[in-house]
Amino acid sequence: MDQSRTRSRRVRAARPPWRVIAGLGACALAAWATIEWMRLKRTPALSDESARAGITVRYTQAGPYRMFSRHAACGAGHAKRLPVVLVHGLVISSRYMEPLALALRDDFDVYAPDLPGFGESALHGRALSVPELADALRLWLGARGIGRAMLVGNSFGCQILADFAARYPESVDRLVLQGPTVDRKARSLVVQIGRDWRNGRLERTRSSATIGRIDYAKAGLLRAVATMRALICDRIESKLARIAAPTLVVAGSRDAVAPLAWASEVAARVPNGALLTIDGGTHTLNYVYPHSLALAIRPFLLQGGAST
Amino acid sequence: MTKPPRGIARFDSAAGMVQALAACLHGERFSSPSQSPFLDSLMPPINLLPKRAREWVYTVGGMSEGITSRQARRLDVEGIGEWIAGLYPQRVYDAAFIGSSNGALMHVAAALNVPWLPQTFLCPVRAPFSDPDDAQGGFVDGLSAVDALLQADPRISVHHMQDPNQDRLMLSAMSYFRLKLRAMPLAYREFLLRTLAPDATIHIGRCTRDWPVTRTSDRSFYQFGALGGATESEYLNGGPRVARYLARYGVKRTRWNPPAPSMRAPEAEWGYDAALTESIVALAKEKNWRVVEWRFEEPEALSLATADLYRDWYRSMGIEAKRLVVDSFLLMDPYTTLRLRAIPFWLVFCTDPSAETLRRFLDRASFDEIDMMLFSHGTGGVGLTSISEWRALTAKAKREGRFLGVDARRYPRDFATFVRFDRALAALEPQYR
Repeated sequence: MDQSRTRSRRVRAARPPWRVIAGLGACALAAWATIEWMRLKRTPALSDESARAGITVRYTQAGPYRMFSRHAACGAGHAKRLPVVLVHGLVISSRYMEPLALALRDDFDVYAPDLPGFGESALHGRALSVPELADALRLWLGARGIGRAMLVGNSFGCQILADFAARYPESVDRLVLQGPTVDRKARSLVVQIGRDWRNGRLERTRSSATIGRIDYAKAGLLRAVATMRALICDRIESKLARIAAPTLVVAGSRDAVAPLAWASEVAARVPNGALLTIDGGTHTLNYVYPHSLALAIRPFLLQGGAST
Repeated sequence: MTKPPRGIARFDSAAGMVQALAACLHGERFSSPSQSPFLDSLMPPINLLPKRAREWVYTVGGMSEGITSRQARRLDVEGIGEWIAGLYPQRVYDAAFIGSSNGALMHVAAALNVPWLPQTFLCPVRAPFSDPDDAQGGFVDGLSAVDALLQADPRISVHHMQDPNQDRLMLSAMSYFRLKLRAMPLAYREFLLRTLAPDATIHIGRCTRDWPVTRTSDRSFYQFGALGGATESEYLNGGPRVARYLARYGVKRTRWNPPAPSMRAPEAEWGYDAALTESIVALAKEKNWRVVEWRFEEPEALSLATADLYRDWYRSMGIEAKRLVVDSFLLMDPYTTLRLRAIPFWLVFCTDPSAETLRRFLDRASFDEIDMMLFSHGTGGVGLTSISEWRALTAKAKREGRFLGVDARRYPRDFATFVRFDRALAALEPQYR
């Protein structure tokens, strides 16, 4: 009897220590993730390639915020035209706006700020709400001496711009809302994540995911989650009727995040709105198809007023 | 090079040519149409198998490229466009070609160092245990896949193509659908906008060759037969050559019985659907680019013009070209052809009309050396040119004529030629930088 117990204990002891292996694996994974996260956080604000292409950067004190921005100076010297300001989407920063800025700079002076808490515009404390982000944009424009501009937003950037245009009409010459969120019929984080995943598959050959990872690391997970909540809670449809500026809503025909029907509704709700569809386009046109987007919105932007 | 997305066949003319040209623009040889070292390593041992086993492996290998009808409904045309555009070096070009698949045009593009974007690509849909000779059955069975493909993207036309004379092996496992872009995908637009210089030229390759078809919707057609060894009449009405061919393969029927054609449409593989021109011209107008159209009827007409163009071009560099490199279907390597300072001469297929084109050309031009590739499609079909006739053509060389990587005993089932043709070409000397 005793002998058999001893054998049984020996057998148990001989089993692979899977808990230990799993624990070590989890620790290794966590260590790798931390190192990778830190590496992403330390990514320089401007790559050598972007600098060579003509992107310059600057920090500006805008009220309480120290805000970072990118600038693609107009190559052809159309100094009289109003500048174009590009507003980024959820958690991502102006880094993914560089391709569009470069595609537009033959005709326009193009700026792309990082809103407080994102990219290089570090912010400690809580995440800002949509109206607060719009206020920060207003402060930044004032600090940069831009009284009036043509504003182009992508995705969540459209929600910030809708709020901005409704409250500060004097600062807005015209608006381009590309892939506006959040579809009122899909106001759920789970649905939005599903749509984003589907869109990501369509954009996988030239995905902005690498930039997204950098910007998530720089913003931090808590801020990312809080801003996602702000995205879901914000009702853009209630603000659209108050936008006075001419507005062009640009929709990619394959955009899984902001489907065509929703983009049409957004255009219809803006008093001076129009819809432009880009055949084959996806959600992140500014990054995946920047030249096609620039070509499509150029005639609308050329109708913009002159700077004073 | 990256693997093509699902829905585009690697063994097709467009996929092969675009990869051959892209390799050239990268300064590389086109040594592997499959782009798979694993598959390439299997080819020589497969070539040692008995005839039937070799045919079976060829069929199964082809079937692995096919998609299901369900996948056809989700075909990602933009993804295919991205893959094609992504093959080329991302730099500034003075020009770009777009339109018909044509091997001679690849050599022109290679000489100009500019890319080409195909209008047509092959989407094979799996249809195991099909009878390649049953035209009526193929027509009816293909309608569901046609419907799925039409739904996948409104910018394509679908040409269901059934050619039991040349695609016999593949058709027993798959149906062929050639998809023609009727408007530029966004991937093409973006590529052109990103890479073309401000004063660039877009060259449209427009092959006007058509074929009798049965129209199945405003964007779909059924084409029985294809350009190659047999004539249109033989496909539609039969004839002694067809009867002999079917008897050789143990088929009980003496002729095919396809649905009655209702119109003529651009030939599925080589013809150009002019609907695409509108989007090209509109984009060119916006960017102030020139548009030039290269219009020709027979695909090989351009081979004669390209040979002259190359000869003149070499002469302008003080080089008298003495070598002719004969391409066959997708077997070509513009990069090595240029390094050899050879005249390229592309042939559609290994069939009598192509042999006749080469014969006509060699009647008026002579070369010290003639080096010939020979595509194998696995079928001893109507109008297949025998190896001895090809050999007779290479013998027209003043000094030496030879095949490039061809196993004459196994032709037209010499599947290892896909991995040998370019090694043989690259072994030739002298080569220049």
